Amino acid sequence: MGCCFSCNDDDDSQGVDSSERARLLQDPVSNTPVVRVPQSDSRVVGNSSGSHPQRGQEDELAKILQETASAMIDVSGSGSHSLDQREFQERTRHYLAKVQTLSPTLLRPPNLLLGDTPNPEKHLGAPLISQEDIDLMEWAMNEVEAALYSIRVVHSEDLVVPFGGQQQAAMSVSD
Amino acid sequence: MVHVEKVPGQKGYMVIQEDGTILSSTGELSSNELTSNQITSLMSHSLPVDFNTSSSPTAGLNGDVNGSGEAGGHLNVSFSPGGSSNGGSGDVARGFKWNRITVQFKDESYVACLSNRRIHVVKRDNAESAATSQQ
Amino acid sequence: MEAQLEDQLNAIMARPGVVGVTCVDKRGLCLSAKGIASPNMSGVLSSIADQARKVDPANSSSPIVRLESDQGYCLVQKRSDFTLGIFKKY
Repeated sequence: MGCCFSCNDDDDSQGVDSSERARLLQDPVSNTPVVRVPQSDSRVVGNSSGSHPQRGQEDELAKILQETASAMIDVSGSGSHSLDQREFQERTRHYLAKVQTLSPTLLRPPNLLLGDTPNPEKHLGAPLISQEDIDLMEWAMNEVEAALYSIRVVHSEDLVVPFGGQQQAAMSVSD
Repeated sequence: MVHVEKVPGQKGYMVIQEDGTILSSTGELSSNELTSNQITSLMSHSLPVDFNTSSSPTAGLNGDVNGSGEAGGHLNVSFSPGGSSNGGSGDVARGFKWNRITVQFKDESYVACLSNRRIHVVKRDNAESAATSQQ
Repeated sequence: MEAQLEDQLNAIMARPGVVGVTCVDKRGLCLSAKGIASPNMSGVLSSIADQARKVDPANSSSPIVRLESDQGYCLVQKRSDFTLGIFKKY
């Protein structure tokens, strides 16, 4: 049937170890047998669609209710998995090591636009863009913009090319 | 902590990690995640440039290079063969580095540099910076 | 057709200190590149100019970006239709 809860596979291991496979939230509702409804539902909907629209609507509502109930996870019911600082770091190291073995390139620091410099204060306090360069840029931008607007496509050949004639010629050749 | 009080016209300062996490921030850049994210994405470019190219600066003046396919190969002589746009793996990329980036708006500027694998960003007032540097 | 653009870029190249200039269209494709500027840089320059504008979204003006190295620097600015990059040596 269609509504399987994949977490059932994990039931054996749950609670035994708190490794990366352990679920953060227990799902108390989905483990109860209440929610196996879609099968009966589809039958009911099929019956009622013709004769009892009122009934069908109620069933629909009941279906929505049950679906919502099955999808809901009661957070308050599950025990809290609080990690202390040491355990957190341990896991971080553990996961990083695993990722490293799977893909050595994944964790490599990215290539950055800037190179490392020893003295950030010197660079941060450096003069801003000089007025000369600002003027150069202003002038160049205006000139280039004007030049770009002057670009026109000059066509030197026929705009309409009669493909039909060539096609017929090609077909007659292939025959 | 870097002393940015002496930076002319400074209005805010932040130190961010390479992934964009803010390590510390002051002034107008206090907890400004928008700026930190944007600076980080600016950093994730690669633009190796060879200023000491052997070809004379006027090499491109003959009008060969105008974006057409064949022209591309022409200028590559002065560029690292491995440096295909974003790759940044050529010889130029290895020996070359940008020290600092300035993003200058009309009234304010952002200056950033990388030190100890941390990005330092300072926001500066243009008029104030100019006035101080002239003194 | 684009002769005027070529002329204009040549005029920029003739300015003191300028060793490269490139003009990029709004899609990040190279329209022209001279000197040490390469068509390879087009997309990156356009993207840098794009991202720089978003550093301060409250500021509606298009910023000038300056990248500095030991040997020289690069100025980049974007308008709605194009991005211009100028390379200067110290």
